Amino acid sequence: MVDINLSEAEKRYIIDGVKLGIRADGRGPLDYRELELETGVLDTANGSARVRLHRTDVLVTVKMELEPPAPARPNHGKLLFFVNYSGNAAPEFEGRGGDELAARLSGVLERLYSDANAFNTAGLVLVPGKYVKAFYVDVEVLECGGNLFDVVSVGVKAALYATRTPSITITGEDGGELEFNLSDNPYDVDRLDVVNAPVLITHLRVSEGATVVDPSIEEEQCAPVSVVVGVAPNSSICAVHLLGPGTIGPQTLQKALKGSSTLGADIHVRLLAKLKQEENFQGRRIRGFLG
Amino acid sequence: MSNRDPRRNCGPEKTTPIYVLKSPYPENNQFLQEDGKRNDKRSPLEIRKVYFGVSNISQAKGSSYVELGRTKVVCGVYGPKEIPPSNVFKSSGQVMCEVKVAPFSSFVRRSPVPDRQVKELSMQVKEALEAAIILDEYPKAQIDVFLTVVEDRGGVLGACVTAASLALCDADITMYDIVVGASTAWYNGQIYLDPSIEEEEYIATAAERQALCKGDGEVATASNGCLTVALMPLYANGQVATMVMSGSMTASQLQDGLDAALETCRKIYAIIKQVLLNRVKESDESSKAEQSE
Repeated sequence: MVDINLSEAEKRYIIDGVKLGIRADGRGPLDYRELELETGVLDTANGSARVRLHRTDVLVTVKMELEPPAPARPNHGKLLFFVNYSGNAAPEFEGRGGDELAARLSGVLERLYSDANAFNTAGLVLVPGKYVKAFYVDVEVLECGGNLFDVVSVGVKAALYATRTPSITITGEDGGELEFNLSDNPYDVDRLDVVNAPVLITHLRVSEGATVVDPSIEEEQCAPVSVVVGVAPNSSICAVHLLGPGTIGPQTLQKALKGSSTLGADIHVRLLAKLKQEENFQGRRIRGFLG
Repeated sequence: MSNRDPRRNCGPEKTTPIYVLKSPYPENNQFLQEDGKRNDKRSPLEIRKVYFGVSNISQAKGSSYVELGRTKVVCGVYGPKEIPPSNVFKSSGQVMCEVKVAPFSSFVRRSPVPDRQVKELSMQVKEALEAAIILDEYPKAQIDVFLTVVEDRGGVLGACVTAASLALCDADITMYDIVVGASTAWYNGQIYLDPSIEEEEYIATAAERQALCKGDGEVATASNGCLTVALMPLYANGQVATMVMSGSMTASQLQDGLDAALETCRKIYAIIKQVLLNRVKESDESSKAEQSE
């Protein structure tokens, strides 16, 4: 991804440190860096969230459209993911440069939310077979500071949680075309049920038997392969991907999977608590993109 | 999204595949038949019949043909060929991997232009191969791997990875080990090896059906999911090169299915070794016959 050139000695230092259980920034192998999260940063979207984890900065927006459903699934809404690596993050992402990586991330997100336990699209129907709600989730990667997948998954869950769409009623029919009425009342809104939506946890395989969670960009330069695990709030595993040109031993993989299960439940509890706290905060001043 | 491909005669813009009106799969809508066997008469831990062949494309440096049940994949390998000198000098070789899924490979016609799923498949196969090939032996060179999925009846990623490894061996590319792919599925807490496409699609919508039966707000507790894993069995005591899983289950259930899939990989590995040995013997005998003439 982003190129920061580490010398062989620096890589050795990081790898040997991880083998001893110490990381270059003093964290333990299962420690996350400080995460900043804010929802409602954009008025033009139905839901938005900005997440920052050290130098990784991601903006996620959710917009709803009314569309005919997919022909094979007339009673289901849609949830579609689009990822864009901004040229701000690295010069090589300018234009179509980041498309391959973006396709990867969108694929992972789609697989993560494909299960009905994570996100149920059955409740998003307006007129069965004719109009369903389609939620377009757009992810903009503003800066890449390591561990992109985790940050994006937290951002997606937060943005979906913060999504408010005006409630829609059908008022009549005029020559075969249905007439809709959107409620003017700002408190008459529909929300999405994302309590069970999963998040991703990235384990970087630094050496056999030693993986680290939430790799920094320096650590990512030292090892090619990482395991990305999607975990739901009830500790069940929803998705697993092995990313990068490298291999991992079955025992190390097993340890990473078990570890993610417990870590994931903890992350969900905290995330939901913070989202609820932010929601209930009266008169919240939106910090947005300042500082 | 309608991709109007200007090189082909596309049909009208708005078309509905007939399978929307009637599913191509049998109507019974049950995962298991009454006698506990699966819809294609297999037992839960039985894999489909496999076929591996090499050197089927005469023009390619190496090629292979793999059948997993009715899934058919062809692979051709070209190279190593020299990359034109550019400003970025790479001291190790490059792998270019392209998977193309034929429009007629599944019941609903697929666009000949690769969509996101197919591009992801290409990347996954590429990463598995980059781990297996000794790229340091091919500086400034590129190895091209072309895969064509002729028929997709389930287990496509595993078949592609296996086919690519076979073709690379046939092309005399040095590798650390052969990468073998296998897939597993979970349904209602039970493990099923080598799911067919009908089973994969059934499981993908399983959680919804269970949720409908239970009512809103309750999370379905039975485990459902699909997993594909690619293994290099002898390299460093067994190394996993690719893994993709989706669904919902506990870590221990996942572990059980993963172990079953890895065991399947090892069994297929033994068959592949035999196929390659036979090929070497064959070409040895034919070159001896030519010499004696």
